[in-house]
Amino acid sequence: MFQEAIAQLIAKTAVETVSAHCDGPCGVYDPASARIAAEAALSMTKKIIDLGPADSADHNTYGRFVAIKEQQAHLAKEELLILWTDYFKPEHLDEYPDLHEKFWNAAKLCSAVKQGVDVDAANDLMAAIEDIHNVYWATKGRDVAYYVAT
Amino acid sequence: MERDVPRSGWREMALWLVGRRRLFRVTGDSMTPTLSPGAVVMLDQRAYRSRSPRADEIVVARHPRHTVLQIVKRVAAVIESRTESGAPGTVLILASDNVAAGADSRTFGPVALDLVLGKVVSCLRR
Repeated sequence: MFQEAIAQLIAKTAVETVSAHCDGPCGVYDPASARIAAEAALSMTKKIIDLGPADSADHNTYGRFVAIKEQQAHLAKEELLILWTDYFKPEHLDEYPDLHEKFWNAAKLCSAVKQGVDVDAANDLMAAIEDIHNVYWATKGRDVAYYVAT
Repeated sequence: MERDVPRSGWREMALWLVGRRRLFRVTGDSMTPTLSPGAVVMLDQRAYRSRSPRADEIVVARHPRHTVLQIVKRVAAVIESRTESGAPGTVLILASDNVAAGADSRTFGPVALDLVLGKVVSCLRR
């Protein structure tokens, strides 16, 4: 009894909290973060092509461009997966039965953009993200225009 | 395997007095029935200095995407992996005890070891 009373007294001093919520509670999602990364990967893909063959280009520049392209493609995939798994809920599937297909394809395109120097894949990825943008904002009941930075 | 968090005894309280335990109040219900909202737990921040976390232990970690947020979860798996640069590293898969919490309870991905603040060793209040 006495020990329990002391325990409860000590417990009252706990000021720090730890969250046991199901998810990160910030709830801030926006397909724009994926779009920016995909757009950067598209831009780097074009720059690598403009640079010409690897053996004639400056090796450092070439390496940097490739590294940035891969990093941004990877980031785009990460942002898409977060949106897919954290934001979208089973009830969204009723209205968008092809939702999984959309994200799966978009994620695969991220891989293609990362692995190769493929402008078509990079453009397809942008289109896929625009599609996801439209679905996302429709689920929020908002009309948000899609735009690109370049 | 011990699933429950033991109640803090005199020894734990003494360790808290000398600064070896940190208190956290739990919010949210993803760790029920082990820890209810309002539970108060004691954290040993030195627990993982000499060893890695093990499966089934309950830890407090920073959320990988919102590092100001501290979360309490159970270690579902410990994965030895390599980082992109090839250096060895350990990541944890953290899970909620309350499986009814929904499909989105395990979505923040693997958690790097350096985000783990310590091990939940006892509780003052469940």
